[in-house]
Amino acid sequence: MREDAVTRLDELKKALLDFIKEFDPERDADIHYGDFLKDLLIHTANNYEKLKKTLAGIPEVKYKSLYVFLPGNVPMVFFEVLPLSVIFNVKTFFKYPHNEKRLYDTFISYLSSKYPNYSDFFKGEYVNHLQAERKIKEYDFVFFFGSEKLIPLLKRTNKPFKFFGPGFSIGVAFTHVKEDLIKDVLYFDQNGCLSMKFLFYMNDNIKNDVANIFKKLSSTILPSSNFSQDRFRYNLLTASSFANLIFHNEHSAILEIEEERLNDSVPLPGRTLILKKIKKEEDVIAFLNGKITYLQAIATDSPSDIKILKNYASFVTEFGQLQYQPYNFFFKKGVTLKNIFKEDNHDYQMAEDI
Amino acid sequence: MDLLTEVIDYIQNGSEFDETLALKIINYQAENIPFYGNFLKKITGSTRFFKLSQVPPLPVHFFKTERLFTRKHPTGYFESSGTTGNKSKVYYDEDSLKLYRTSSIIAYPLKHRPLKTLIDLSRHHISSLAFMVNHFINTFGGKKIESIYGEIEKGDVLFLTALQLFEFIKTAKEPLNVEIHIIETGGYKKFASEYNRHQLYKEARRIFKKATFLTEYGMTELFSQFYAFENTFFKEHYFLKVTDHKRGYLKVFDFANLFHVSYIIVPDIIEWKNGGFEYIRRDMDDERGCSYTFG
Repeated sequence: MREDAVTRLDELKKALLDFIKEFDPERDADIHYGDFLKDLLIHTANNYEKLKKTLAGIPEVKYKSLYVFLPGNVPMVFFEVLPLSVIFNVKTFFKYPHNEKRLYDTFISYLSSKYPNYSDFFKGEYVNHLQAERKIKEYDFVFFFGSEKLIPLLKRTNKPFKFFGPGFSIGVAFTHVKEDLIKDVLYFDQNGCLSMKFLFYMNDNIKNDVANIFKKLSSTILPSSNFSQDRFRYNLLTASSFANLIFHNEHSAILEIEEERLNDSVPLPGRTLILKKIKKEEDVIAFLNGKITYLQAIATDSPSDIKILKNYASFVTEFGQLQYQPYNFFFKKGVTLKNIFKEDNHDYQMAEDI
Repeated sequence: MDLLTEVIDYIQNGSEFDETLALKIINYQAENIPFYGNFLKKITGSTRFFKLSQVPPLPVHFFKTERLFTRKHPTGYFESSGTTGNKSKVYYDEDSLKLYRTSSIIAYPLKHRPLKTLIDLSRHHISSLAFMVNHFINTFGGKKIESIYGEIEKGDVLFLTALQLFEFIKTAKEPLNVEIHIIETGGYKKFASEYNRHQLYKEARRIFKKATFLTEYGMTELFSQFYAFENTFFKEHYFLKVTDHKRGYLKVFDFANLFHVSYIIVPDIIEWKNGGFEYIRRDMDDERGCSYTFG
């Protein structure tokens, strides 16, 4: 790998750390995500440093430009794509989600002001899907993040692409939980694929412990500024018909499901942890009822005891660490620096092919 | 007086929202629709209520998954026009259709004018919109038409879906200088681009130079309807009560829903203004990031 990739990662890291010092959510972002954003950005900047040591043997790619469909409400994806662009030296255009532009534009401007060689390297704007479809033609490779509803568009583009997402993460508690679990659930209002949606537990005490954690700490991680309380309440009312309400307040909840299999036709509310008691790891697979293929990561009190489920997940970590992703995690199981620009098949089929 | 007679009498002769009757209806529905009774019990611990504010509205979603009808033997059902996934089913029998006819006529603001429509009335047994428009034609006169040109006369009401209106004005060659009322049914989410009723009226006025525009806001799951004239907001009625006068999801109590569920919440974002509401948009749950959304 070229020396200049290391230099650019250094520049990117320095710019991000400096940016964080000056970052003012009111001024620099459309959505106010919460105080944890800075913490996660520092973690990401430090991952850039670790990436430098993994570049040996990484093949160069033939592509010169990259088009990225960013998901809404999960700004970390943008900051995790940046190092890939600089490592492979691909000029990158970000298609912003409709509700966040300022954070990305502010950082791109900041980076360009510190290092003018980036002034034409990163670009981005919000465009609708029709406009995006036209714009993609100008780029060599496409990263798609988000909903399966993108699949028809993705097929029509006739460009090499990688499709990431959607996904979800789970917790498995063998004997205990930690208070930090609240971060796994509530960061980014559970919109990220690294957010914990289900906690599978084996010890009866855990249910009370989790309820106490939510009572004590759920208000320390307040919803993002665009959180819809109506949508939360609506989905909570809907989910309550098949689940037991263990705890709820204005903006977070715990539900428990007794059925052995999840009824996946009912929308689940955001900022809500679903509890399910299990006896063994296999019960998780049965419960998720085919949705295990969307599993992204696992947080647990005992990583070494996750024997079967680790085969389905990108990584296994301790409670409280789900959102602090490893430096070598690239959005999807099996994706590495070596193959991230290896195109997905255009015959990609998903259930909701509309 | 039995409950049906009491509710029909109230819809025909009432003037203010009757909370006591509303609670009586909820208790009746909770007793006769097991799913609804269980829902209320699970959320509140009870099925008997003394104030409407104690009652959680039922998410309209459940019309897609549950059989919400107080009687054992419906004679048919209306189906929503959703294009993907499950469709809502609203069961009916002759008594519930009697309520539908009564409330829809009282809510309808253009009585005694002939009604012309492009809506396919042959589907009146399965489409609540076709059933309602058919009933208006039977009551006030009018007919189904195949084409707008040549079939519309001064004083007519032209009743059509928003999409039909949109398609017509897109291809219309000449303006129509006839004084008519046009009622369109909303449903802008089916359009390729984002639309609201004001944009649609503006576009339509290029063709319908002398028309007055109204929007009907109705849905299969409600047997009563809201209407808004151009430059005004959707008005509630004493028998079709919006319970939360602010910006947010629509929460509505419909007395004409006596035989299914009256108090429902709909993921349509409305904004309360000047004694009425503006429809903002259907909340599409499209801000879900990259997480997998179950459901």
